[in-house]
Amino acid sequence: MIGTIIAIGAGIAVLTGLGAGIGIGIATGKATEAVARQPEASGKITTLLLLGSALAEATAIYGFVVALMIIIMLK
Amino acid sequence: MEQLAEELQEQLDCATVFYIGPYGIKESIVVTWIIMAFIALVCFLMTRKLEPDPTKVSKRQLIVETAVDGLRNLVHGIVGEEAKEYGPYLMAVVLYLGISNIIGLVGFKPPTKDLNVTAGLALMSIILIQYAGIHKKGVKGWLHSFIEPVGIMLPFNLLELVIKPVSLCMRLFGNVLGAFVIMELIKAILPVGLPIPFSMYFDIFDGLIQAYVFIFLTGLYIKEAVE
Amino acid sequence: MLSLDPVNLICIIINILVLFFLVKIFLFKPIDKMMAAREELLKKQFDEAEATRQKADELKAAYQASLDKAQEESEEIIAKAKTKAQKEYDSIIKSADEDASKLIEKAQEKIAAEKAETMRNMKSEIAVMVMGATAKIMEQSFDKEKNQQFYDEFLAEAGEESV
Repeated sequence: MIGTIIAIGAGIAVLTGLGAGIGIGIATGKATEAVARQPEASGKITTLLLLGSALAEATAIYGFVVALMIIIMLK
Repeated sequence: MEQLAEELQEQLDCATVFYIGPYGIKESIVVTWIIMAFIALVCFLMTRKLEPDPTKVSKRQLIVETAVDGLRNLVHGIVGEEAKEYGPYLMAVVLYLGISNIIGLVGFKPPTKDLNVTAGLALMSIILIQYAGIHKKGVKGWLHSFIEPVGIMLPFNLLELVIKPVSLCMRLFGNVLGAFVIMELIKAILPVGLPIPFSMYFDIFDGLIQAYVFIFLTGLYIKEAVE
Repeated sequence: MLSLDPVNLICIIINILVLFFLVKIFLFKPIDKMMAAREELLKKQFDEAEATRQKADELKAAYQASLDKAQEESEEIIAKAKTKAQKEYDSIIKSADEDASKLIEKAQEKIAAEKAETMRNMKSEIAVMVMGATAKIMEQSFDKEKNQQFYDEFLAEAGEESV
């Protein structure tokens, strides 16, 4: 029983991936728009997009770490 | 399934290699020593007998010059002209992180998969950030920076002192760990062929990006501190 | 995995510091040294080039000056020669003029002298003819017709002579 609850908790923690996904999606969309508007700046935009994505991804990673913590600490 | 979980658990744990007295030295430390020796050796071999005359440089020198120039541009682009003196530290860190994130490819356990390593790096980063602030503004100016822009921000600024290194540490650790777990799961599904493209992304691309992100954020905080 | 171990943490911090110094000693120090040496070398080369250029400039200026001087001199020489030639020309013309006028004068004198002599000759001839005529007139003074003829004859003769 307790294992099931732990699993549910871990699953909820991993839901933070939602935010990261939305964030990266918006960032990529905007980057595409920017490249369409200014194709000559695509190199810089790509760098910024990668950086932004890596930062936004961190949210999902925090969720993942918390989920792992829940599983390992509460086991 | 049970077996996979066990194996994963085992892989995730950082083994203690040997003991100095009562203190256990973990695998990540040993791998760090190997990386340090590797970096020092490569640097030593690459920078022997450098020729000042630009018309007579060897190929080896050209490579090392290009690499150092690239690193300097990378770091100076982040910290700017005012905080240039912190550049060499960031370069050393990015070298270490870049190598340790992709060292899994040659069979070692990435040291960044150990929370102690990322925590140590984050701790050094926050100390360096505060040192940069003190060095630039003096103790008074540094203390004053905690109640900027208004006094009510004090708790948040103090909280930031904790959040910054924790976020740095967890981001790096989580990324490497997550990549590692996903790679293990993929390997459990199909050990041949399938992991190659994923390894390209998770081990090389993501590893290098995270190394860059780490020094990018550290550099950004330093720049913020000296402004 | 998720536990912090102070010993390992300190170990890592020491490791990173050692790595930083290793990188500094083995990578940045030689590179910076080389860069400084390169800068110096380039500066030296640049200075040398600058010196050479200055020298060349000086040489050029000197050359230009000497060229200008030569030009001036040649101009002067030409001007001098021109004036000299003009002078000579003038003197030659003058002497030629003088000569010509002298010659003309001489010729005129000669002509005048000849004229005078001719006149004198004519005068003496006329005198002789007059004497002859007088003698003839003396011989044939009676014959009026003959006289007239003689007179005509004389006139013709005299006219022929005088022309």
